[in-house]
Amino acid sequence: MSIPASRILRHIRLQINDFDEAKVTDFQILNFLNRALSAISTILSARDLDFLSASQTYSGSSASAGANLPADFQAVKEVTDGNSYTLTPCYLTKTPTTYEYKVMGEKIYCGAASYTLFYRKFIAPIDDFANDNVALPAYFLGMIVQVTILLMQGAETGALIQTINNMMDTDIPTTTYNKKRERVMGNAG
Amino acid sequence: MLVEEAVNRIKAAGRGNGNDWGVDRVIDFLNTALQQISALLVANRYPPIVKTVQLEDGDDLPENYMFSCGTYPIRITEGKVEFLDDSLDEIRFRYFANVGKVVKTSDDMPFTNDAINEIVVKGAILLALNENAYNIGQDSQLVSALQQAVASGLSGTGPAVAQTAE
Repeated sequence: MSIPASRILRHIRLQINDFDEAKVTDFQILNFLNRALSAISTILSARDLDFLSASQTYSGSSASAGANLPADFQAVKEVTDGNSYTLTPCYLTKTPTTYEYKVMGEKIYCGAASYTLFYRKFIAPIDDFANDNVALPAYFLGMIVQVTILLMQGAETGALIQTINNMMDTDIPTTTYNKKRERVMGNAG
Repeated sequence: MLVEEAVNRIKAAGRGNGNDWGVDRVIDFLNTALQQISALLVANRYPPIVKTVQLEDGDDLPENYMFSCGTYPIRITEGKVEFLDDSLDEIRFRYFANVGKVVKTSDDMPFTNDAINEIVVKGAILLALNENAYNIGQDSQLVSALQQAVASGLSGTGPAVAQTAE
């Protein structure tokens, strides 16, 4: 579930009529694309859609030394131990016990012997059109292209955010797993 | 088109039975007109005169460099290139190249597209006539209209193309 950066590049070049690379360099497009991804990622995270969820499993306790957070970490959703029990966040000043964790700086501290961090990620920028992928579902292609071109045309931030929100309202499915789960649980109850 | 044909046509445009200017002089006119058309094609972002080169930090710019195709993370000082991003080893640099000069009558005219060569010849004729003090006001207007038409037609900047900031 990702879009090859090379495909995005082709769509942008088609739109600006510059497959010849005579007007705009890949370097310029890359910068505008990364700014577009950052804007989209910020607005997406406010909506907390499912595909922003990710997990990372750690083995070994990190109660005092801490372990590095994933590179695309944005916010904690949940932390579970090796038996899938949910752990509790503790005070920043405390060393976590076996059922506790804390996040400080760029590290997570947890007393459990092994644990899994469920987190909300952000959409990482890309370095290279040839090999990189944008970690968004395929139906974002049109939006990414449009937002990048708006930025290239010098759109103002306010107008840009408005546009992205409008596009998301119309284009992006908003049913999230969380809502679905609530409904299922409500019916069951 | 051979340079010879171009030279003959420019000579024929004079009033002195083809003896107004010597061949070398006519080739000078041609070269001036070539520079003029090159600049026009660059201004219209004409892809066939684009060249690509792999640049490393500290390299000289290519000799026939006129203008880069967009922005690269480099700084140009006295014809030398400095990289602004240390993580890059080299940059695939695309630029608009000067078409170069013609030297002798057996040379080919530099453009493969004869429509452009025609305009070069027309431009050279204007330069030649101007030097002989003919009144070229009206011809000059016609030629510049022609230049614009061809340049925008070639580069597709003419009709119905969405343009973006560069």
